[in-house]
Amino acid sequence: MKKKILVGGIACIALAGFMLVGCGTDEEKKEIKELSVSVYDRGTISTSEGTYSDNRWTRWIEEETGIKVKWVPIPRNDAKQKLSLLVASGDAPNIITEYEQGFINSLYEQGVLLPVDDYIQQYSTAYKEYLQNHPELLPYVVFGDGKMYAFTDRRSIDSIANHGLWIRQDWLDKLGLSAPTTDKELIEVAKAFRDRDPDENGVNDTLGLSVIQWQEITQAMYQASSLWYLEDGKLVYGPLTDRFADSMALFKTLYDEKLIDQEFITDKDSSNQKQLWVTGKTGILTNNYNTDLARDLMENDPAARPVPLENISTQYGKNGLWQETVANRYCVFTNTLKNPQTAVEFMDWMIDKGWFTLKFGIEGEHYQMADNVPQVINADKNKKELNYAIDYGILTQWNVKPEWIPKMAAKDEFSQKIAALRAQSLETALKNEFRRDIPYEPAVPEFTKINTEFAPIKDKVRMDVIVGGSAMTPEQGLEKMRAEWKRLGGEDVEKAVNEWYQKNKDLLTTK
Amino acid sequence: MFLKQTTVEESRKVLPKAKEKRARKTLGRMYKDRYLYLMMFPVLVFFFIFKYIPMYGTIIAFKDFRFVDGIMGSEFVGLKHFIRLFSSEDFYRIFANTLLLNVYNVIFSFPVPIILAILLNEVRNRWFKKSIQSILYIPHFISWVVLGGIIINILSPSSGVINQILKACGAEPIYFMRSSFWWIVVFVCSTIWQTAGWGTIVYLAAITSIDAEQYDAAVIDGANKWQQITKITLPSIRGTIAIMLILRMGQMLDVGFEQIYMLQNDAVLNVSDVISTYEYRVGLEGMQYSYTAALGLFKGLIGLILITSTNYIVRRLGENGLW
Repeated sequence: MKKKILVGGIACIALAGFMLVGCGTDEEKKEIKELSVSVYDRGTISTSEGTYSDNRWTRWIEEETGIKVKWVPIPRNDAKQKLSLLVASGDAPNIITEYEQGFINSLYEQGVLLPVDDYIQQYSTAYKEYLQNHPELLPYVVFGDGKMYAFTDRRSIDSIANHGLWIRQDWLDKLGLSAPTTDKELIEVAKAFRDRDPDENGVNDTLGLSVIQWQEITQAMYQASSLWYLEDGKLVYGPLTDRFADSMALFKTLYDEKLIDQEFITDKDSSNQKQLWVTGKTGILTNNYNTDLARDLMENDPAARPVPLENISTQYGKNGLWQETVANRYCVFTNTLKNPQTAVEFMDWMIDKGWFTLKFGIEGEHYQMADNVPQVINADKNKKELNYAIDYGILTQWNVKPEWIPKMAAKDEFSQKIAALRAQSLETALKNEFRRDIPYEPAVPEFTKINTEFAPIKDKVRMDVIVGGSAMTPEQGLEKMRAEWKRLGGEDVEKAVNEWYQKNKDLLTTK
Repeated sequence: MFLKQTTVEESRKVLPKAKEKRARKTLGRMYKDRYLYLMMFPVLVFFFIFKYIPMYGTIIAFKDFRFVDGIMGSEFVGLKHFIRLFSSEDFYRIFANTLLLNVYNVIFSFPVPIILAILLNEVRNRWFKKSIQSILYIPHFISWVVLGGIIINILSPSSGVINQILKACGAEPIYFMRSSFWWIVVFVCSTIWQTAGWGTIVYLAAITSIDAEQYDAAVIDGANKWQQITKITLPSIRGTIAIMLILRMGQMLDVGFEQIYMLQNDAVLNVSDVISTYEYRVGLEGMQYSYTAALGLFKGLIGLILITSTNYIVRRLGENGLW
């Protein structure tokens, strides 16, 4: 028995050795046309289509490029954690894509990324040309040591816009009100929605607002987002400015006056907020500019008329709601990549041809050309077969104009109505520029460190201010946050951030 | 066989008589049970490969770990991360939170499976007993993502069952998940809900092994149920309880991440921010691996101290400890 095990063991070792040798020689001969690439798993693929790693589009990409691509699904909501884990365990995909510059920068700090400028010079045609036409993207991809570490593309305006406000026009009309333009008016309108029975059911069962993404939205209203603002030639952190106290004060009023769901704290996935809005219990919605919830509301109640609401102004003037930077997704080569030529080839194909099909599908099947814009043939079919493909288009040249949106939509009445609303919503969302003083956040490790400790303190104090009644005023809350920031060593961080700014001033001027 | 005999033969010359005898005996016994040793071998290999080899990664707690340099190549920085850990006030806050939640859990949820097991043991109707057991096991198989949603809904001040009852009794509804006090109560109760049923298995097994004659004798002597439980059942499973307690002590700095993550919200961060959520935030989101490795090592050390000291105490109390 022992002998048998021994023989088996030796056979195993020999086999493993043989396999290793096999790999070695293969690589030396020629670049293998294989890549692994991360793809967001947003859970939107239907089972009949397959999985994120194997479906009609992954097969199509393989056919078109001749490259065997292994797609590694990354859950969208836990993307950073999942990617960190993969990188830490040495299983990083050859190409990682992620939207957050800070995360890409920390991968760079960790030494995981390969510089790509030489590869682009050597192997690229399409992307090289694209980059020459879009020099505004360079500051986002050139990192600390002056080398370029990522591929990125210019965002289409429909993904630059992000958050948005919605209001029930039919409720406003019924009560003879006009849309609010300031924070004071917002509260007044919300009170009217709460008290004056806008749904005319004779029962006092309505609230003012459904609040989704309220932290970012109220912060943006007062120009106190979690960004570094340039003030008097110095960078200051948004949540530590006086304006942040005002953003807390607004939300506190909404809560204290019972204009919002009193249980929003535990509504972490916003399902309750959505339900209140869709069932016509709230008249104002803070969310994003997408029409999903307006559509759900109109399907539920055909008489409802949700319209986009321009961001309100405050004593600090009018800011745009959160808008993204021009650099879209970052695609980076990690140190597991052994065949850069193939990878560059893949990126070239993507920016040149691939993106269009992954966005619009197959001509005659998913879209047809009309008025020079690709028009959807059947919205339901695309919802199932095409919409999830967008994440495979890791570089795109797509840039929409608001007036195209109705043209691109399917021709039925409801689709057209929604498309018109979307166009209007996009225009509203882009009407006011979102204040962003520097193109990307400081790549300062001290800040990353402090932020993991400061962020929960900030969230907790803000929540104490909002739901704590008179126990803590917004001003006291802000004082507390400043004290905590100081205690955590915030002064050193401010110094480091400003040193970084002085050093990179020239790079940061591109807007 | 032949090989073994020569070694014994050789050792005979060198070793003194008593030692030699013992060595021979051991070898002889090992040979006699060679198949048992053979069966144990894969387990030892498993422990070595999956439990001992990974320990070498712990050295990143003393280094500035970067992916590119690898575990061996990263720069050695001594106790830097430990100094940062112990000089950070947040560490003491999360450490206290973690310990407190675990102390509550030991006090309140540790005895529950024991009580349940004794109660179940007294149930005479087989069918009833089996169905109660199955119902008690179910929560163990439900993930926290689902349980968390259920708990939040049940406790909702406007629509939850509990608050409906409170309202019907004329009391003010309570937003349990928002209050730091009630949140801890919810945390402990949900732990009991999820783990108590499953925990009874060990104790039920221990109770089954009690000699039935003891009960017969007690009945003849006129002992009632309560006396039977306190005089026979409990003393008989004391050893098991002691072992379970020692094992539980080793986890005093662990709080299940999923549970806390699902139940947590911004309003109760002051009591619900624990080591596991901190590790998640700092280690995975902030990618400070060395720092969190230092934290992990410290956690392991505390666990070891707690296990050893509980074991010592248990032995002093006259029970068999783990070792």
